[in-house]
Amino acid sequence: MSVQKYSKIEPEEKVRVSVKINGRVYSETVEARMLLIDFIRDVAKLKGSKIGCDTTSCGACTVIVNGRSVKSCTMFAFEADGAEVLTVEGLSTDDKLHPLQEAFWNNHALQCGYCTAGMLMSAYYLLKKNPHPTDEEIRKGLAGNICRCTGYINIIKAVKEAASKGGSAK
Amino acid sequence: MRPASFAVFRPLSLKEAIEALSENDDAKVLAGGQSLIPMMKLRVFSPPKLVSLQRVKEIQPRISDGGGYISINALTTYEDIANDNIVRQRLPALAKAAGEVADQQIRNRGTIGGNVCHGDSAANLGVTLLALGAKLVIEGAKGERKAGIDGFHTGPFSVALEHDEVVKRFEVPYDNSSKQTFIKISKTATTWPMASVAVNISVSGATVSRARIALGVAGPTVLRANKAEDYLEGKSLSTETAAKAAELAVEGLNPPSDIHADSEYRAHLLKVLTRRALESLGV
Amino acid sequence: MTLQEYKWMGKPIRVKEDVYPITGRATFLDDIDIPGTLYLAYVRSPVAHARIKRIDATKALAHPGVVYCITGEDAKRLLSPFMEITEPPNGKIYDYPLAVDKVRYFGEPVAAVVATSRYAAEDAAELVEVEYDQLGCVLDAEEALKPNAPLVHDEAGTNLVWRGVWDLGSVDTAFAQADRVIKDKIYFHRYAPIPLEPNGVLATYDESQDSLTIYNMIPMPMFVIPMICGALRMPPSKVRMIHPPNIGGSFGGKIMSYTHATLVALLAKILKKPVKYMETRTENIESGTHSNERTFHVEVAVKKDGTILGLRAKIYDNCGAYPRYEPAGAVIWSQVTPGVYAVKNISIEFAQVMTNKGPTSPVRGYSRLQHNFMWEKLMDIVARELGLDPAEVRLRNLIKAAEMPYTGPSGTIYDGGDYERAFRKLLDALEYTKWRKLQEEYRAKKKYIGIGFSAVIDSAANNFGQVKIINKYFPVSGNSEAAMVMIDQGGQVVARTGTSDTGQSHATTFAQIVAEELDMDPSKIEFQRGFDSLSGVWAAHSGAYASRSAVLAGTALALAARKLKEKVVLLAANLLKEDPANLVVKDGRVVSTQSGKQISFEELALIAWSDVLLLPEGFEPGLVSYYVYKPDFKNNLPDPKNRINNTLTYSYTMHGTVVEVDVETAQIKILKHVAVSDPGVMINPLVVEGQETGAAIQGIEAALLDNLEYDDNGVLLASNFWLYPPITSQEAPDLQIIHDSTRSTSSLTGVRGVGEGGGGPVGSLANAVEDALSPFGVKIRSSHLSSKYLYSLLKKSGVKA
Repeated sequence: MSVQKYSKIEPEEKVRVSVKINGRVYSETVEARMLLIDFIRDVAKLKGSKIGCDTTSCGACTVIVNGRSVKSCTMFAFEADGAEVLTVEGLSTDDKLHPLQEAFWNNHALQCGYCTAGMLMSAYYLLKKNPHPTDEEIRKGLAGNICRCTGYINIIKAVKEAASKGGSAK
Repeated sequence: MRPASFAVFRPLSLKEAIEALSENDDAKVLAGGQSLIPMMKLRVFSPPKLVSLQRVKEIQPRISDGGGYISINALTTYEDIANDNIVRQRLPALAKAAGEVADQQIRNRGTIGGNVCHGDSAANLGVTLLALGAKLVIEGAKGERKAGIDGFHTGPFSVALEHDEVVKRFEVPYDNSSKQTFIKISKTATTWPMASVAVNISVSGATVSRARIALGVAGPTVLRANKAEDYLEGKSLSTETAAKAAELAVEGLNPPSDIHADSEYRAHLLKVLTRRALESLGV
Repeated sequence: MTLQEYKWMGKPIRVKEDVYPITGRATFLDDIDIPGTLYLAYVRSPVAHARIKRIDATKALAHPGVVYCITGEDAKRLLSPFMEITEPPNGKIYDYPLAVDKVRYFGEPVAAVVATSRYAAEDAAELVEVEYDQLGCVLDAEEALKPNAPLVHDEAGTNLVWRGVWDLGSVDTAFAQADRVIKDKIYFHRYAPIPLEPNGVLATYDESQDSLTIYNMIPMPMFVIPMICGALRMPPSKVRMIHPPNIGGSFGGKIMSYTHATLVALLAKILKKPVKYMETRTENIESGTHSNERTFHVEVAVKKDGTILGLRAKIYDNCGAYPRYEPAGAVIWSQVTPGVYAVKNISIEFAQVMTNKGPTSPVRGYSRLQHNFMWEKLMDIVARELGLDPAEVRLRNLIKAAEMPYTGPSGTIYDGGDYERAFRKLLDALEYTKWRKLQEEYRAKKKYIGIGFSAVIDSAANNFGQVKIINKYFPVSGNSEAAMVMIDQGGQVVARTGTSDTGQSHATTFAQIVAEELDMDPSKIEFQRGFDSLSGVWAAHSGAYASRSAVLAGTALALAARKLKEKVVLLAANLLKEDPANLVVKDGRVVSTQSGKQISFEELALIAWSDVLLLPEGFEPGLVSYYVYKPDFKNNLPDPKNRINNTLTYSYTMHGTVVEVDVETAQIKILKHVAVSDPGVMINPLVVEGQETGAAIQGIEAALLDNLEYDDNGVLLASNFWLYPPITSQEAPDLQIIHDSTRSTSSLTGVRGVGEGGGGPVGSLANAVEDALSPFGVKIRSSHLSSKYLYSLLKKSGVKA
């Protein structure tokens, strides 16, 4: 009988997952199949990130995991064990809005607001990677985030405005 | 919307991963999850066990120049590949193909290993690596082996891998005389290509010394356009030869039909893309 | 158009409530967490038309976490069928939240399981076994009217919901005088509104009061009360309809979702626990309601110079398996009977037909979208047949500004506007002449560009009296909206109305209206968000649909604010011992222009609310005013010829698109898109332009990307975002919107309802593509231009690739 040398989880057994979200650690034993978006919304109770589709198309669930934008509906919570996650709730610091948030507000870059959390996180990643993107680069960078209300034009404007105000620095 | 239950193995080494696979016939490999997880959420595919390669130390993201070929570890993401200077310089078609996969978030998670082993004939990297003549370094219960990309794709969503085997890395050859590109047509950024083509030609003087043309969404797997390749060898690239090669590329082809395009339209698109890809390489 | 007279209206101020989604603090329905909530998952039909032989929920009920399973048989026993608009026999339709006896469309809910977690509910739904006996299905409206077509509802004995006939003006004379009569067939495709937030319901039951609270996203919350209460056999006083403060879009798709609300409420009552249902995206596309699919067989009588003398049209509309709001759409197009054109001789025969496709709902531009497309396609058909410039043909037929307000052939009153001026502005901004020249040059180089127009008029603030054309006993007519403005105990101005906000920025725009009346900073006005029938500030017609909010709620709010202002001045006059004529209300205080004496809202509030013995004789305590506004449509009810003014205001938009068509790949690229719109007096230009842009992009998407394609067995092929792809930032073009505003002659503030847009780009794209391909004789007669469809047209016309 060989000694088990690897970690094994049974479906009835749950996985102990610890994720640092917006600087705070959330630990819970959850099913292996639990999606990261459900961990964020139902365990950490951070409701800002949304679910808008079932084919990894819409990006409403986008958060930053270890510095990269990901669709949290297409990651299992266990895959984020030990990771650092940033959600929309963590964008502003000390009640001061992030330049992206300020720019979205100034440019009416939202109407119903359902895509906004994911859109902001994708824009956040975009500016970190490319602090002065062209319109085309912004459109490509946000192609994984669907907005049904605005037609994107104000969103592009907002990202450019944030870029010009040092939106990549934070 | 939410997957069925499963048991997950989280091995730290390749040995552990292979052991888990060989002892569990019903276990499926999870790499970046960008192809597998959506299928599980729609419950079109509900494996009772997953082997997550996320923490396997030997295959973590890494790109290096091996001299004559670029070595890319299996867990390297599309984003890593698209932005890597070595890849952009030596394998521009691969960098382009990686940079045009779906969207940024999917590129941040999806891996080259996952893309190729998922065996989707629409996969950007699968198509491009076929044109680039990549080699795969594979390890399984019986040890390590190397395989060429030709013949690796055996059928729809099926590849020539034993159940207990894992692709460790890709070795993609480059040469200075190579001209290469990748183009596709998709309805939207995040829907699968309607058709895609990768072309890799080596020129000697004014003529093509060797051509590899790979077609995506052209059949049950990614395909090489052998007749077109044979035709081009020894010829110079011109509008005429490009057009003739394109015709030969789709001869006898039976691409899949779906809601976005039927078989005939697909074949037509593949012909046009092949011709345009060749033209772009220096007519 | 002068906006100088307005101080707060017309200002593009930042939308105050935008800050909530921006900081992740918005509360949408699924964000509401009530302990003990159970989750519902549906079992849905994989076939289009079949008898339900057997449902076995044993395995599902045995699954851990599962609490209940309900089928159509239970629904039939526990609920009354939903009411229909049409009378029997055509209206003899038994509509329940779950399929009873038969399934009638692919994706129809057949059973529902309730469990302690979402995951368990989905597991259990997979375990319910259903046996079907398949029946032949019918998917086309004209086919469905043929004698041996399968019946969607056997009890109705027909698939025809209703047929209406309009014979307006002197149609025969017009045709007799024509130089040419042109016949054709035009098709508007079926698509889905896909708001980013799928639908959902959360219901709780209070045993102590036998009352239900239904958290929902239904944009006509009280209009559906008869449906919900009728089905549940409970009085309205026991059903609270409440919206979360934020709803993630609807575009009309969530209007007819009282089926989910009823079922979830029933289950909450049975289980005595909160029950929640959140639609998946696949469910939303399959059955979260579709936009109407319509075929037009048209004959148009024209003079050689392009003047249109008359129109005859036989129209078939495919409303899917359950009419619900239909056949209202069969009369709603008559809000824009002649489009923007001075055509008075029109004969329409309209058939509303059921098929085994998904049910339709009043989606954005409902019924006018399709009608406008017919006109705009017709204008180009006429131009091409007569060898005339499509811009010239439009200019020749546009209703003239001097004729405004214009009474149309079906009794509608167009409330002002200068169509010609707007259209000429479009031609200018689009650089029409330049593109025509380039088109010539490019053709020689085998490069194909085209220019297309679409002059659409869309109605806003509907008159329900139009339903009496269908059923003269149906007890709904006119429209109404309630508003309340008060100065609360703290001296703050608080306002509320009965609309529902699914992204229209009501709180800020309505604050601007109230601010205008009270002459104060709108950001200091507290606007209460989230519809709640418990608050009593609503009318039965309340909600957001038919672009009514700015006009109806806006007017109600303005009038409520004026009433409040009167009270405030009266009280201030008494307390300051001043003549009311000398008093001015400004910035939260009342000031005498004579003596300079003033009193603040806070001080007035203290006396009005608590120190009531200081109030003058006859002055009721409190500072609250209500107003329920009911517009006068002038032609309020239908006459024997079905003529009625069935909408109060209109906005119109002239769209122009320049495209390049790659004839080898059948790909379409938009080179330029301009829209000149008249939104009337704008409350907030940022908000107006945002919605106009969004509407235009949705139109482009519907034209190029999204089509609800069914296979021959009635299975929906386009059932998720891979197969029905929404437009992303990468495909969406940049576009220009120019305003050419005139005051509406029908609304108090001159505001026109906006936001739906009538789908302009659908027409301008179809026309532009046909224009680009005119050397090949390609004819576009459909609103959907998928690349595969375009490829087939190119192949047919022998275009060499």
